[in-house]
Amino acid sequence: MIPPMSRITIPLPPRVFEDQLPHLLRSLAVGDGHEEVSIDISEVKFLTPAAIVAVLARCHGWMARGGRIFLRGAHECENLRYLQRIDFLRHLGIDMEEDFHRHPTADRFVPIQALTFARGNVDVISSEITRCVLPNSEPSDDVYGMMQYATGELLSNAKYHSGGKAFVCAQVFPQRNLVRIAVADDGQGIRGSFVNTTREADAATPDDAIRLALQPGVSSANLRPVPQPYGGRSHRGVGLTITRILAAQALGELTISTESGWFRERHGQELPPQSPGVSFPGTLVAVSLHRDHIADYAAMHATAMAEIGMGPLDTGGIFGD
Amino acid sequence: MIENPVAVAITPSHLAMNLEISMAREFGDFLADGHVGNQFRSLRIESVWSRVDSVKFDFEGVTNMTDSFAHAFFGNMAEEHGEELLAKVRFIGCSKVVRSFLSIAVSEGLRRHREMHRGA
Repeated sequence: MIPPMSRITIPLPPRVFEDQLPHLLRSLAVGDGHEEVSIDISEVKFLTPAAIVAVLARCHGWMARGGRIFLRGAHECENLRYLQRIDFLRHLGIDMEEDFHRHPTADRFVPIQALTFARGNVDVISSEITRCVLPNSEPSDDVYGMMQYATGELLSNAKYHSGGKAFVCAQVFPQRNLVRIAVADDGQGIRGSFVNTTREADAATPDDAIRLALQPGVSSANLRPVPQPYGGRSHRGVGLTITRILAAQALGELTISTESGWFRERHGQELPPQSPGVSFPGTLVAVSLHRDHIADYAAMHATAMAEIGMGPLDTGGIFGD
Repeated sequence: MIENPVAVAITPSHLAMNLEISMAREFGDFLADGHVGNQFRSLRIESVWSRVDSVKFDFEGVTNMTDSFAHAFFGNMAEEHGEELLAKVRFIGCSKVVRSFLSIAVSEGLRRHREMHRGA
């Protein structure tokens, strides 16, 4: 007697912004333990970058454990072309004929990128994403610099803490002058990264782990008792903290989900915790920035560093012409 | 992986040995990955530190960096060498943004160095 195949279909909601993200994460969690998961996209009209990378990271987690992923409702989905253009289907391993010609993404979105461990990955992907999202900006522009910085820091974190594949997605919303970026992985989660470190007890719950990771100067990579390759410290634990402050300065948002932990801040004000049941086994971090609130990137960064007690000393004549 | 670490020529002790690194040529215009920065620091700078009189880092063409990179590279150097870094290292070709990152990373490294060597 062959046991019946364990299958489930997960319908994606029509619209998922950050406010609807907990509901999506709860919906995705029901796929755990099934051998076949069908993702039904028939109702999808809009998914924020955080939702897109969350679905991908979840599906890759199931596939890594031997599960199979199917797509349903593609022909009923009025946003199918958009999902194809950003390579959502391709990253699910689904090859579907496209009835359009791909064209330059023209300041609305960029294809989803998968982050691997190759050298140069973080800087190249960060720069590509920033160029695509802000095609009319120069690298010397303040908004370009801040977007590139935030992307670089999120990717650096994901690269070394995910333990697996991470996905990154960005979009720009011209009407609201808003750029959004999100990174998700199906790795060990933030709490997992503190296991066997000197601060493990301070990261007893996923919520504790998020707050610990947001503290300036705390990086799980530096808290391990074993020496690090090349000596010194590859992580100072300031990237995520500064990204959080910059997002607040730019009247943006920061959202973090890991296991049952949840953190969301808007304009620097923490939002109430979500109802129980949010579950994301890896780590999901999403940042949004308002372009018209980014005036002087260098000054905003220096202010953020001063806020965590890192100001410049007199370094003599170290700077030449 | 960083390939072909600099082979240091053995020079007579009376000859000054100066190192100049083009950061844009080594890393591109955005210095992002702290692990890569730390690896480069260890293999290309620390390995020859005691044998060089000066190290010049040229940031011409570098438009931005992350704190991860700045602290892993230059913060670690300052923590390791303290005041000796100020005497031996020069940063040139820095934009306003790059200068700000470097200034803070070096200052933080110096603070840690001074804390570690307080009373020593």
